[in-house]
Amino acid sequence: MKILLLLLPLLLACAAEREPGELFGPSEADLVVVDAILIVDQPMPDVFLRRTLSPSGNYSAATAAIADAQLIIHSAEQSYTYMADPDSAGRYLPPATAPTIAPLQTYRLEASLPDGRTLTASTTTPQRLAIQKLLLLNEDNLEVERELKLFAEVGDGVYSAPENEVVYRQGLVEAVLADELDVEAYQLAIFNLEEDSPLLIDADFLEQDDLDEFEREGASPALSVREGRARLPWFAIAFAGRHKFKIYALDKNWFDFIRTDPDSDGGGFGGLLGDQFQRPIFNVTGGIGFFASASVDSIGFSVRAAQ
Amino acid sequence: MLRIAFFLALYLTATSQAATLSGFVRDSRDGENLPNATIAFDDLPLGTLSNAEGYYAVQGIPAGTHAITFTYIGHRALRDTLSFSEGEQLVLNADMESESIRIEEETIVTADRLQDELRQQASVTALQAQTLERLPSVGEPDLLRSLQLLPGVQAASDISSGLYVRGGGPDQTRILLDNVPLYNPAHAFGFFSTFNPDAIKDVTFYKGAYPAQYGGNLGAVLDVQNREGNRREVSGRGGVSLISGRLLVEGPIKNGSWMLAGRRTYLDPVLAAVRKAGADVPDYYFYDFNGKLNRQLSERDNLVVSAYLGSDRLDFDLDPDSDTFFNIKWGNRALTGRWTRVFSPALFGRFMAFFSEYESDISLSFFDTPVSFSNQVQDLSLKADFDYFASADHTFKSGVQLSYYEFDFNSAFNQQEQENLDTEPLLLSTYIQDDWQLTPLTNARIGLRANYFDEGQHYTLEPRFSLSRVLQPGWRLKLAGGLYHQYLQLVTSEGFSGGDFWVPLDETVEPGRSWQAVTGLEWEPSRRYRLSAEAYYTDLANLVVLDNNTVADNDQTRSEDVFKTGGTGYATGLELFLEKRTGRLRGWLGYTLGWTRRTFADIDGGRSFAPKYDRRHDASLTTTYQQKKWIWSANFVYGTGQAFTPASARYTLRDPATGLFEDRALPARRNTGRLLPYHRLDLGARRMLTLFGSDAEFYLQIFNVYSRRNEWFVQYDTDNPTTEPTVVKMLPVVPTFGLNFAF
Repeated sequence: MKILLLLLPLLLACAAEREPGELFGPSEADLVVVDAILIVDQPMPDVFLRRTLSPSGNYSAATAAIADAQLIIHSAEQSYTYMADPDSAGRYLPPATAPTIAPLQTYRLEASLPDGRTLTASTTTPQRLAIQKLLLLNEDNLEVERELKLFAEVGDGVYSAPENEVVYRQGLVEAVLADELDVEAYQLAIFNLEEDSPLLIDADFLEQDDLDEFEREGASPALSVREGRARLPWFAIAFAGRHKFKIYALDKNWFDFIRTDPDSDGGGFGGLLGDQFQRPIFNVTGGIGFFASASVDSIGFSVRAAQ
Repeated sequence: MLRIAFFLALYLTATSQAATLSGFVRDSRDGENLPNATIAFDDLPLGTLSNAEGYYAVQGIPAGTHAITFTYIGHRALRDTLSFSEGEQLVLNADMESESIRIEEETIVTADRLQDELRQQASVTALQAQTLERLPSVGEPDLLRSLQLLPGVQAASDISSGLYVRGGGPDQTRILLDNVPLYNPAHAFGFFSTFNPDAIKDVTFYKGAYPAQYGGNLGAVLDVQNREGNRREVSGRGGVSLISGRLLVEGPIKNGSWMLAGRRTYLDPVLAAVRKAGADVPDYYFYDFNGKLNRQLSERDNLVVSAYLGSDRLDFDLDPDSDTFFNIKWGNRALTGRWTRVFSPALFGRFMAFFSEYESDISLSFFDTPVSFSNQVQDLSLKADFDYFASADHTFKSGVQLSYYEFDFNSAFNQQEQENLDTEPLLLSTYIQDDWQLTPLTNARIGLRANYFDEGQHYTLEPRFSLSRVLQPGWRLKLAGGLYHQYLQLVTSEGFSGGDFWVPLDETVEPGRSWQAVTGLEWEPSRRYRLSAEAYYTDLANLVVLDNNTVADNDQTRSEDVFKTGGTGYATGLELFLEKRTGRLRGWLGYTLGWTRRTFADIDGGRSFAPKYDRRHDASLTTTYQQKKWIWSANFVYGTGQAFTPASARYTLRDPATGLFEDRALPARRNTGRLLPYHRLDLGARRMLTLFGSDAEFYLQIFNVYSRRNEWFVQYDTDNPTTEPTVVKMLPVVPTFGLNFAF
């Protein structure tokens, strides 16, 4: 006991403090990072090529840009050579003649750097996704209260159609897919299309700092869509006004990335604290990043505050 | 089977002319049965251990007068001299006097320790309630937190009572209360265990290589026996701490006893007052209840009915107007009936029927978006065990257990079901085990366990073996090993045990498998000191780990939808343990040098990695010092920092769904960094006093005396151009006090 008491001052001196730099691993700077999102029935996408930088230095995306690579996307015995965008370092543009992205098609990307390094990745696009109906359900008995208009019916009129005006947190907005697709998973994204519409959220437990952090865009974790029905979570909506709601059907690369990305953790329980910070599955050879595809359909509606 | 029957008959014949001694070993103060008491003949190489009910039998005693010594930890040795005639069957119930908690001098009588030494097997630790009560703790004595002070056992954090034993997670340890599995032994999100310290009678903890009578987990077994009740008089004990109040009352009935024990937090009125003052705090409480009725039906028959009920509930209504709340409840319930019968002096039978249930429900809503997780496990089991004291050299144990389970795991998001796992597997297990006195100096325990699990039609055979040899007086060599399988998988969350859930491994996933080997050397120069060294190696296969991000896009969730599967790994290490067991100053010094690794094809590209709880060095010093009416205590714990995954680079990528650019930290290879070493000193003081004519004690405990902010985990913030790591720290200094009393 006396020994322990004598040791006390020594132990008090053992502060558990250290420099932030000690918490970084061996630097993996200068890995090639690809960033390309292929959407079925949309034009061939811009591709970004950057490099990783050391975590201990100041970071800027401009410094990380790779401006002098050769970049080609191959598909169905066709090759599309990309050109560096002179206005945006690290951005590569497809040829003007490139077709739109086809469903159920394999695309392979090859990027060659002047130092001889090569990055490759490939994706097979999913089937087309189509939303057949948009419904407002009673939240208690899940009965259909009314059917909302789709883009296919009224175009951008969805934002002004009376049927498509929903009251914040009243009922459940549900999109019904035309077909359940054979895909790994789905992902939902929501966009508030206003710039300065009022915040609908008003909760006593939120401080002003919390309210300032609400964003006008957000994405879900990977989800299953049971019986072809996707319900919009109210917590994804924070602001009044026009909203666009996208449903993505994902290829394997997209699914692998978002289900393992520590920044878009799917939540849930289990495991040890800190274990969720793990390297995502990139499915990229010769570098890291995202080269993946999805099919998508959208719905639009307008949200107003309850009276 | 025929061969076994033949040998049994042979032993019966061979010993039929010799005398037999049998009976129960009990505590003289309250009549509690004493398991694992040593019965040794001073002048003969004969002896045995009492079984879980305190029953013993010694066969093959030659006619004549012999001295017998009964010894049990914490009790004065009891000596008796008996005369045996040929073929006589004597019954001797031994009432052993408990060593007073207030003794000032060492009173343990040193008996002939030969038998005691022989039966000490590898990797087993026995603890008594008294030992637990004396150790400093946070709030109140806690069994699981006390076990974390043993070499080879770790805690994941200051707030976790989960047991990480020899490189295995909490899912690999089987926890039994009165032989019934408890599926979530945690209160307060893991801060405390569900074991009421007043109700505990005896604890047996196998850190590995456990015998064939147990099964179902890859690593360790914690077998806790509660008190059966005071057979002599009505008595009670209890306590109040800053966290909870507890009370145990027990007493005799005709030919038996009863025991009722309860514990409940009184945090809820405190929290209600805080809420009334305007603070956003949840409503929280836990309680547990233990009850037991023990009735001797005849000279040979005894019936015990016991019940356990425990529950935690947290309600956090963050904002009723926006329908934002967080509710969680979890709890265990168990009801057991146990009939024991002495069929003959040599044959003891134990028949049990029990029902154990664990239920957790998490229900939350964030701005009208409901999310729910629920898990229910129901275990209805029938069990029969036989202890056959066949001869001076052989004690057989055998048994059979049939368990019918109902598992239900559901998750729903926004009123849409996401996962739905609903299965009703059946597990049939049988075992046979022989405690074999190979030579006067060598004892072996050989066993075989067979299992059939109907989900996936899995048949497994599990050989078990342990050997203890006295090299010379005071020196023991131990060897042990075995094969183990696990069919039921616990998914536990560090710091949030309320969300623990169980999933059976169905035909889509192979059951977990481990091979264990242990070897040890023990030196016990006197009753006062014991020094042991044990090396262990565990090979693991078919491991699973929760896959939070998998999508179960089908109507019936299967095990493969929930887990990353096919993991392998190993754990190896060396444990040193120096214990001082008697005198004013008692305690132990433990040290573990350990390595553990895991490999999953789906984690870190299939590379082998150290789990977070891999610790190269782990040491603990635990002491108590009795000075008249004071008991001083101290724990010092040191451990290598836990493994973590550091950031190794920074990069930019768009969020694919929104198209927004995001700066990100790139995780390095999994768990290639180390947090700073963990160390902590706890101090405690107890003052005996008399309160209203009854014994009582006031205690003051200080957890983490020098308030070292040990590191817990690391987060990286990439909102600014500089990447900012933040270390989340564990608990600072926490003083607590309370009062215990007995009447």
